[in-house]
Amino acid sequence: MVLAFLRSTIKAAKDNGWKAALEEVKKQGLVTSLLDGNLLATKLWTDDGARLVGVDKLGNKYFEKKVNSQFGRHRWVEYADKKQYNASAVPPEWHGWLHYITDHTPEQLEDLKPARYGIEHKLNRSGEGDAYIYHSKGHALNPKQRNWTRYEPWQPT
Amino acid sequence: MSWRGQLSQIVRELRIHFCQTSSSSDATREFILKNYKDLKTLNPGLPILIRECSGIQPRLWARYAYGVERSVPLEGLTEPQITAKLEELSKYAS
Amino acid sequence: MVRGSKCYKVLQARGNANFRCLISPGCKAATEAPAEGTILRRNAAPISDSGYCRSFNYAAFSSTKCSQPESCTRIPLNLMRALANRSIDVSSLGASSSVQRTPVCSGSTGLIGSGGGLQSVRHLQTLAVTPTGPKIIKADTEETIEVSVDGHSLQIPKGMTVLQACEVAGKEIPRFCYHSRLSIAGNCRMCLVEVEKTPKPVASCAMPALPGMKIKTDTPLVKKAREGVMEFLLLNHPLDCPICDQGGECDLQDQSMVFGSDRGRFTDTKRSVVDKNLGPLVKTVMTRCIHCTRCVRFASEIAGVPDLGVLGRGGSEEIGTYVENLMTSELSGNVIDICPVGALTSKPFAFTARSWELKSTESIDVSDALGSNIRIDSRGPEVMRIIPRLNEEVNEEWISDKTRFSYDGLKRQRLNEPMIRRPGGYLEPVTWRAALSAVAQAVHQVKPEEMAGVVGKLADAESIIALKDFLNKLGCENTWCEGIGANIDADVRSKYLLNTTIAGVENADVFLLIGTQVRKEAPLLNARIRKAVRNNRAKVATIGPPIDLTYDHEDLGDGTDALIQIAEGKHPFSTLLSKAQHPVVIVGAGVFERSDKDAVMAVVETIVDQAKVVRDDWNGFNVLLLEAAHAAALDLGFVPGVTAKLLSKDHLKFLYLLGADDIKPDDIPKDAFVVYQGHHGDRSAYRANVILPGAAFTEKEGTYESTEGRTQQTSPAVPSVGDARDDWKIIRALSEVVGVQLPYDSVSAVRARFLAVSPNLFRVDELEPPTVWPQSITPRSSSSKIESSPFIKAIDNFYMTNSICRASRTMAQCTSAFANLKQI
Repeated sequence: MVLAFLRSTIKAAKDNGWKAALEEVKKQGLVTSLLDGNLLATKLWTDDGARLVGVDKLGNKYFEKKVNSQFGRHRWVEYADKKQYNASAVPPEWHGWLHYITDHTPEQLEDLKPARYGIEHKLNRSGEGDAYIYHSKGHALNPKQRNWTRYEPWQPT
Repeated sequence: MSWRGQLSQIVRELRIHFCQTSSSSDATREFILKNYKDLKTLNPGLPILIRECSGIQPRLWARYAYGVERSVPLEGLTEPQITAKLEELSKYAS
Repeated sequence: MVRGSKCYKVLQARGNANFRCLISPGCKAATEAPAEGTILRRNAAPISDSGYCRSFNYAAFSSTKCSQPESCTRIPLNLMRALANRSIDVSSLGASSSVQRTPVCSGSTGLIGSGGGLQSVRHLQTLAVTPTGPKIIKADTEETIEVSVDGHSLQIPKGMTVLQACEVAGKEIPRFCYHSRLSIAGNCRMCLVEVEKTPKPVASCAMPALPGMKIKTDTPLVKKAREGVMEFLLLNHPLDCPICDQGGECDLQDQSMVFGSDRGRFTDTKRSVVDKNLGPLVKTVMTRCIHCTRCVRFASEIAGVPDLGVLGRGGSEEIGTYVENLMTSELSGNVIDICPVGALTSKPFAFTARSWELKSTESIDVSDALGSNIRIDSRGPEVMRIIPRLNEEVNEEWISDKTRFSYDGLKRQRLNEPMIRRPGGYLEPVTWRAALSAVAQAVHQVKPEEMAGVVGKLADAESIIALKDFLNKLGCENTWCEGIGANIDADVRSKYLLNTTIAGVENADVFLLIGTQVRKEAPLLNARIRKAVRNNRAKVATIGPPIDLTYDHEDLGDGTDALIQIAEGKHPFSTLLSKAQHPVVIVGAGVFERSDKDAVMAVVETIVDQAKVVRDDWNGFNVLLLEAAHAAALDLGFVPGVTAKLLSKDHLKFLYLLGADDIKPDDIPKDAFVVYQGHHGDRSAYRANVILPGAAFTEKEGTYESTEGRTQQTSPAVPSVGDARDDWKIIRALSEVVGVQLPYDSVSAVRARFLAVSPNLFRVDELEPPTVWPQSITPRSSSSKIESSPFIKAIDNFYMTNSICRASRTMAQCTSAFANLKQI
């Protein structure tokens, strides 16, 4: 993995100059990875020989490594947003594949499943701030707090 | 009798309470039978409320102006005595 | 016990010993057993003067008949007999009905409690006079026959069915299609019992009990029969319990738990049926229907509309209208109570609540003057539904659609805070102190003869007497009720009440309805008249606007000519009337609004005299009042007094409206100060200068008198809205601020005031019969002459008669759905 990283950095430097190389570094998220143990571990020990299976619409990359890897750890995801990620960033179509529930990738699943309606998948950010904390309809902090009185008072018009 | 015609000048409302069946109200019923028409003809605007209720003792109530009320029990009285009581009530003026 | 219920205590007498109340163990009454066969008078107040609990005790099971049923003067004779005949249906069990479970004396002494305390208590708790209701049997004979039920022999009147005999014995027989107020169908087969020496189990609801029959209800054959029938019923029944509104009060659920087996053997596909649209009130899921035909029989017999019928047979049987009609009856909501399963449910109530989360309160309905007994089911602060309560003498077990479905008007357009109209014309919410001071200020600026007080339709007697006392103390005699005319004479009670009583109407054989459309004004009275027509072949003639009354009647036109002709004896109907055994004349209260009211009433009195409508044992002259507040207001003397100057409206400077919404704004002078005290922001609130929010009938304990003179009380089911208060309290507070403080501070003090004004209002749940005076007692006013103007409709739209109905969405839907039908 380190080799791959270096290779791509040097290639970028050769082609487009050192600024591009820095961009490449940033893109690879090496700095962040140094600080985040998960990402670092992924990059160091497992990336080598991994096959990129697919990329989803949020930008997460899905890798598989069948050879020289521990069975049960042969599929993983590299999140698009290195700073803010959690397990809910994986959309449902990749979730099955990622957790070894199925071997089908989304394209194959799409063929198998009938057409359905749904909204676009989003990362679950609850609890991370006031905007993301859910308040019930009766809560004072809910901007759309419902009026729970069981009668409608008369409005003189 | 002239006081009957003057009744509505002082009394604003008359109420006669009696029992439908008991013997103590016999005289009251007789009083109503004999006098109601007369009183009503002479005082057409005066409400004379005849209210029966089983088991009560007969009573005559008179309401005057400004909500003042007086009542007399009619138990044991004969019909002329009841008429006399009514006349008494009609004279109250203060 | 249901909150607000009167303690109908059940007494148990085993011979002469163990006379104790099984519901309130700590009750101090009845600690000593009266002699066997003594009649204790049944009354709502638990403790009588003599210290006995006033419950009806009938010593039936010692095989001696009660010796003096006639000596009891309180209960009408037919109810007496019904109670005596033990024809009180004990319903299946549990929460199996939507009609109020009012424990009444079961009298089933020897058998209840003998099996053990727990069973007896449970039995009593489930003792219900619903869903099949107590039957009034007109026992023509006093003959009794002896039968034996499960080894116990007992005497029952001749003519009873096996099912009724078992109920006298205290054995609950499950049933679906049998209802004591409907004709016998015998199609559900759930009531099968074994009778000795018969080859098959018999349908007990249809089989008459013969002397010497030995009936067995707990043999293995009977059990197997019940399980089999239940299995068949559940065969095609959908698995809808979680989504069915009847869950928790479903007869099928309850009876399958007790009488059914634990498993079924059906593995095929169930049949389903298309839902029918019966209108905005009754929701139908016909897949759940078990074809008991109770709704069909109800509609054709009691409601009088042959809307529903059974189509097809066998598996493809369907109940519906076939021609895609709506249910056109004003009693259509009662099929919801009658249906044992969730096929017919209440549409406004659908999916809003479950029966076990509702708190029930017994109360009285105020949408018309009959005073139907209702049970208000509420959850928290809102009323979820209204269900009828059993009262044989008033409404049996039915209520009209307006009563049942107008409760959602209680949640809209409510007045919740006092308001004062500011000079800009807008209404500003203020505190009570400010509002009362504003009214007091206005009061002090006007003279007594420039003031007036008007009582609306839904006012309770406490607030009426408070207003009357308040105005009288100020010297004002200008008081009248809205809707009944300003020159009514409230002296003699029999001139404005329904003297025959609602239950007495059943026994009549000739009716003359004058100026009244009974079907709209009092649907339950119409049902009683229909009962008389069906059972006694009564003849009915109407003088008034044409209306379809659900029974055959002669329409004598809507003018006064027919009336005069009958009075003169020239009309063919007058012979009919004079030959009648029990003639009834009903005058609608709309007649009192006519200018020639005195003349019309004089003519009516002539008719009454000639046909001897009023006799020693029968008073057939009736007035049907329109509103719930009228009878109480008239009893309390809320009529214009000696110094009243009503006709000159220009003099009016101060008007106090106690919930009066039908005052035409043109009648009120522009500069008059109007105070409106009520609970809905209806028409009068727009004209008011000060608005004082009061409580609706579901939120206060108020005394109402029905049109027959029966005093009844409502109980508060939900708290009042916002800052609203009880009506009489508002007037009491106002009186103090004005300076003429009223002498009562509590509800009991106000009710004590009733004793001084009209003592019959103090006797709750009792009917004080008005004395019948000879016609000569009232002076005839020869001034008015009868006009030829026709009698007009008193009610235009049945569904929109008071402020609660006008705010109700359901009533609006009904109006648009049923707009083109004749009875609206």
